[in-house]
Amino acid sequence: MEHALPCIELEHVSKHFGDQSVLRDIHLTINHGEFLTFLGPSGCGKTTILRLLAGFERPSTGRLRIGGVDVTDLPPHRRAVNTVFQNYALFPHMTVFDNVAFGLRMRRTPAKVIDAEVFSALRMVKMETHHARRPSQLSGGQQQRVAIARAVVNKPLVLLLDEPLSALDYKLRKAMQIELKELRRTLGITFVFVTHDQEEAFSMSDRVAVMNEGVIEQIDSPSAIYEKPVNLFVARFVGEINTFEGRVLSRNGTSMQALVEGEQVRLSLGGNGNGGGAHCPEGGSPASCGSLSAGSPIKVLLRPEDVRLERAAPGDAGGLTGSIVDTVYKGMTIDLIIEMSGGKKILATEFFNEDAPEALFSVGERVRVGWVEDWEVVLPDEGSQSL
Amino acid sequence: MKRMVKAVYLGTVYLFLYLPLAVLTIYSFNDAKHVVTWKGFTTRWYVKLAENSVLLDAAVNSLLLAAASATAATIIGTLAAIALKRYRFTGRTILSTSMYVVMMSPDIVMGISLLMLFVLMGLPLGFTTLFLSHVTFCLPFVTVTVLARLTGLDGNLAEAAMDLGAREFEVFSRIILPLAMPGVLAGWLLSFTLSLDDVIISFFVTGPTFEILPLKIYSMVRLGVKPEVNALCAVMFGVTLAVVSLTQLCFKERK
Ligand SMILES: Nc1ncnc2c1ncn2[C@@H]1O[C@H](COP(=O)(O)OP(=O)(O)OP(=O)(O)O)[C@@H](O)[C@H]1O
Ligand SMILES: [Mg+2]
Repeated sequence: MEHALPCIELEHVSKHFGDQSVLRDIHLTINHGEFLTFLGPSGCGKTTILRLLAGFERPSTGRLRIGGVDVTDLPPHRRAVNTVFQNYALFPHMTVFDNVAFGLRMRRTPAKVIDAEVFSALRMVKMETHHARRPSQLSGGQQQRVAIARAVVNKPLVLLLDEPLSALDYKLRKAMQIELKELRRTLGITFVFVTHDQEEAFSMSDRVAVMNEGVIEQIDSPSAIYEKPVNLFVARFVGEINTFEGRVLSRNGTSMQALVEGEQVRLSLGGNGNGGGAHCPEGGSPASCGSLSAGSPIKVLLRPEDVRLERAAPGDAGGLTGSIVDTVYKGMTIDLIIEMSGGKKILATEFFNEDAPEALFSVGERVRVGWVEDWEVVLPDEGSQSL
Repeated sequence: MKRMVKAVYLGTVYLFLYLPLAVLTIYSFNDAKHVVTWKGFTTRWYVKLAENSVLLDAAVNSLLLAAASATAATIIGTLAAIALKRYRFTGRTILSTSMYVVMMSPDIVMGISLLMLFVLMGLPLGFTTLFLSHVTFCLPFVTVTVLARLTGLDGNLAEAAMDLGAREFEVFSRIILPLAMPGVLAGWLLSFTLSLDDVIISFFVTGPTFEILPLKIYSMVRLGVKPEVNALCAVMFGVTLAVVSLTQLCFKERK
């Protein structure tokens, strides 16, 4: 129930540095208790959004509300948010205890309460035995935990995390991801997370906002982002994807006929009832909705794992065909690189079937390329959208 | 072989550094006036020094001046460094460049220009003019020392403190100042030494009411080096040695 309440509202927020436009008209609502992740390439403005929320920067235009309060003009110390910095930013001249106690002391909390609260926060991140150490005597992962404890001990409405795990090695990062998720469940507060790691974003978040050059391209659940990207940028940023050029021939109800790579194929428009692959979620670019009519150029996107391959019979004609040019063994899966009749190369991922090794394709074989119906993504070809 | 080379190398370095001081110290115990040959051990120059109130007054004056101007320069210089590091304001580049200009200016130029300024302002030459001049030439050294310390720190620390509810003053008093402290202390020591050391600038801006040691010695040695001066120098060297060892010890323990 509480989840429906907006916790953070950004109203048409933009930010310029000199004449460089870093954020453009960001309009966004984050609910109480939500885990929202900003995902995007370097320099797209992720950190800038967090800094606006924390109060280190002022928006050039627009308003910011946190917990229903307009904080646009409030300094950092009067906002109910706390930040976990990428490089931890622990105070080197203080012990772990004093670091964690800092926020409480600033709010003139009685010493007795501070003691209890600090230890409970340190216990939460399993660092209570290290309370007397200096930050320089801790490992990266331990410093990270202290930084988290230092932020959550203040019981903020929102925890802002700017790539908090990027300095950790792979195994520790995985472990910390799980711990952060647990922590979020225990605390029940809103998490706003920044990363440029797609896997991290998907595994932790309720919703992911994919950013590019200062705009939010798509904001949706991880599965929707992956399966129903609204444009090529999103599709390509979150994992491998094959792109085909095509043209709509005719459209009728739940499906359409299209010419793709010179072959006539049937594309599904069923799916979630608002245009199939070319669906239009909230905030999606309007160009991707409803503009598909006979003659429109389109792009058909297909994840490698959604590609279905069949051995082509020698006399077979029609449909998309190609031949295997390379296979890459990946352990659980095997990647097949296929050269289409038109010369285009695509990637297909097959699961390894230990019981039927003969079912695997080998280099040189001709195959028919298909897909699970409805899993293809159809986007209008906007021309300029090439990366 | 390697150890031999090392020993010879270190020996040469120490010889260069300390031979003059050793000679001076030894001759401060030489029982002869003017003569540079050894005539036997005596402590009478030290006794004479203790009776020489003019010289001792000058020494006290020098120490007072150095302490006062180092303290003032440290306060102003530290604030300037923090402002330069933390705030973006118009004239920021001009301020930081002008620091280097003052540091680089030849003493003689500084001395003459300060003298002209004081004369134009109608300030009587004496403690005040010496103090102002010493603060002026020490200040950039403090700023640069503190700035170097601040630059080595994580840029997010102040923001982290603000994020945790600290106001501007608390950020300063609880985060920036404690972290800048080693730089501040180093700046003070440097200023103190520079002030104690200075001859050229002081020569221009000093007045008859306030004699300082370097100038006093300078005027004395023009009539030949007196053994008392040797004794005085040996004492000063001893004090320096003690102070430096003490600070080294302090810093080691803090780490
Ligand atoms: N204080 C500033 N002054 C001028 N330009 C800035 C400032 N802060 C950020 N920028 C610019 O804004 C753009 C976005 O920066 P931001 O730090 O938000 O990127 P990011 O998405 O966090 O990137 P990364 O993944 O590399 O951390 C960059 O082009 C950056 O150069
Ligand atoms: Mg960033």
